[in-house]
Amino acid sequence: MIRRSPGRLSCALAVAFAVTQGVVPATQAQKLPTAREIVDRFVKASGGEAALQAIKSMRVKGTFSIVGQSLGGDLEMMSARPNKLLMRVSVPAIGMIEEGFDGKIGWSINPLEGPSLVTDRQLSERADEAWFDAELHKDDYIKEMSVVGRESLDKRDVYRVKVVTVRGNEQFELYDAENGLQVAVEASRDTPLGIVPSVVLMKDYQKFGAVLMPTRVVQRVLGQEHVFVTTSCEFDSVPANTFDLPPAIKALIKK
Amino acid sequence: MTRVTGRWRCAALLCAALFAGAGLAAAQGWRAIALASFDDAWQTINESFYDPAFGGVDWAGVRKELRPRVVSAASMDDARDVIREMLARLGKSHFQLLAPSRTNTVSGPALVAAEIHVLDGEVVITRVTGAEARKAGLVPGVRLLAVDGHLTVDTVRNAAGADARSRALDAWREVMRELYGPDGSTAALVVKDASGRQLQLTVPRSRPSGEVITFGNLPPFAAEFEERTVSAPGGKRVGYIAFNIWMPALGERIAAAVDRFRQYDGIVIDLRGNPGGLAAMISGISGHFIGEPVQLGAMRTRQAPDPLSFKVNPRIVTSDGRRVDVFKGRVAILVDELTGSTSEVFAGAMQSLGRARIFGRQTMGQALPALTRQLPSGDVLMYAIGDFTTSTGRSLEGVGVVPDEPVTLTGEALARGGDPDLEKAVEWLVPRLSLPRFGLVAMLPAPASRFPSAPGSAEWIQD
Repeated sequence: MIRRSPGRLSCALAVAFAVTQGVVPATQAQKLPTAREIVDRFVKASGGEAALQAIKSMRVKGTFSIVGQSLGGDLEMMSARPNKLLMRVSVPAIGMIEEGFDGKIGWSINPLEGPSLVTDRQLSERADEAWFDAELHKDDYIKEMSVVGRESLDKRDVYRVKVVTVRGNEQFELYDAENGLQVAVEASRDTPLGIVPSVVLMKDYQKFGAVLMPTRVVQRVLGQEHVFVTTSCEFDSVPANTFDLPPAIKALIKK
Repeated sequence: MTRVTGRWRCAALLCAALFAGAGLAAAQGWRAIALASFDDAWQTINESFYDPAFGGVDWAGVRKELRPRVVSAASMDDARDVIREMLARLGKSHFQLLAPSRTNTVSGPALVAAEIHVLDGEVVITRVTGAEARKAGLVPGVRLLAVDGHLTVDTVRNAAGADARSRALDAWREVMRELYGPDGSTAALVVKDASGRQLQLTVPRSRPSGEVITFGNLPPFAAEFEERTVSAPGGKRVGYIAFNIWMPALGERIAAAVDRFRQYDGIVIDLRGNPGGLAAMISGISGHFIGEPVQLGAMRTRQAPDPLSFKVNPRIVTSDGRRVDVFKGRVAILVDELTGSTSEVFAGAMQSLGRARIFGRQTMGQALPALTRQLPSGDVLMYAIGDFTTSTGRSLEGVGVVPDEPVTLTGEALARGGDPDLEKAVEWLVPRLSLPRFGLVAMLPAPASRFPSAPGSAEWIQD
């Protein structure tokens, strides 16, 4: 998929879990669309499959902040087909935090803990996160998906879709019943501290080129709200060597 | 929690004069802001306190009882006192309102460049860290009797706390507060030396040294770091690393020091007076000494289904990509009654794993992972979101880390220029070194050198 949000990766940065907010079961018994119909509508609302697939790489720049904590910094996220990802967050007093996936190896470098390799479930989740065409929900990414129900989120009707990826990772995706856009993802994520629940909200969709992207992503974790705001987005300008492993990571994997 | 935990109680208090985030409540409408702040603080804790039973405290009842007192408060300071009382009802560390108050405000950013401890009911100068203070006649080991006319005996007598340790900590905070003052000011000190002679000293105050770091809602903090080699006869070498806060700005310096000491006979990590910082750093720092991703400890929280786990991140590469071994030699950690939070978590974890031996005095026992949050008033709420137990299931909150090798500080030893904690640690790190104890004292670096640079001696060389 086109990596539109740093939500899942930010779990690893935040080490956190989120509070589900305002999601209540639907009471009306009405016929629900299929998960495929919901996803196809989302893809269409986002600009269409052709427009999404025309993009080969993407660079998003923005800001990151933690509400109420006077903490924040700059964010840069680069992704490329088929499954490469690099995210950099620069936080004053902490420094540069980097997380990446080169299609095979997931890694992290941060001034708090030093360099490390991502393994096991964290690696599986990282691989899903890096899947460039994930939003299309094709068979190469999705093992199964089903509509769980229709409910309310922040006073909007949404469809709740349960998704299991081919790697076995499970999440609930919420789609706006009116405009078709994806508005939230709920999941438990594996972090260096353990499994933490996470809710990511996608807001303020804006058009970049031919596609719509959320420009405000809010992640609720550990009782905190992490806010990512997109300030710019470029397509097809990310050099291929962007995703090369840093020297410290190369040294880590050397036997 | 941005892997944030454990925090800067004492440091925050002492830096209150530098704290810019507080006091935003406008004169007009302050009561509404105070109420909103009270409600925000109560609600935040209500949702995040790690024990759903609140340790037996009727948290809803606390709100019902105290909120009317905010409604009738005469001033913002009165309202803050009520919030502080609410936090105190929990009886746990890391629940604090970081804001100026009538009791914790210091009168300036400069302070007398010395470290103090409360020993057996007396305030003792344990280190003199600034040249101006030394020049004024201040030396380690003397009893501090008065600061600007305030008798320390009264401070110690009036200190609050449930036990002797917490009363000593309270007295320490109060005397430290008195040692602060405006830039360019001097402190009138009365001290008593080992012979019983009283001296009146006029000691200039100065700003703390070190890199000033601002992190989130917390007050600016001067991060200090020292590393040196303690060389001994017979070719033995011990690396000494001291830092006063767990902040990433120091992480690379610690890593570089460990890298330099990698082939040494032992390493001393001095956490005396270190009140904590970012807990996530314990994974990386412990990884310099432990080669497997073993568990350091666990944290129970309200929201996560299972306890969260702090694990070692083995540091087998340097930041420039060199493959290295973790340090395999002996590790000693120095602690004292001012060692708190993340420092306790690290020391307790290393002790539980049998990877380090702890020297000094029992630590604060304030070891809860915490976050901060800005309240509507602009004041900052610090609140714990989890407990912490070491890999052996030992809780540190309220207890602290009990040293394997307790060391009693005495004014006499300090006056001789010794560092009893370090001496004992070095004796353990290089056991075949058969030098007389007081011979070591004489050869160790000057006690003033814990953070400022100090000259070495012929046999004990620091670099």
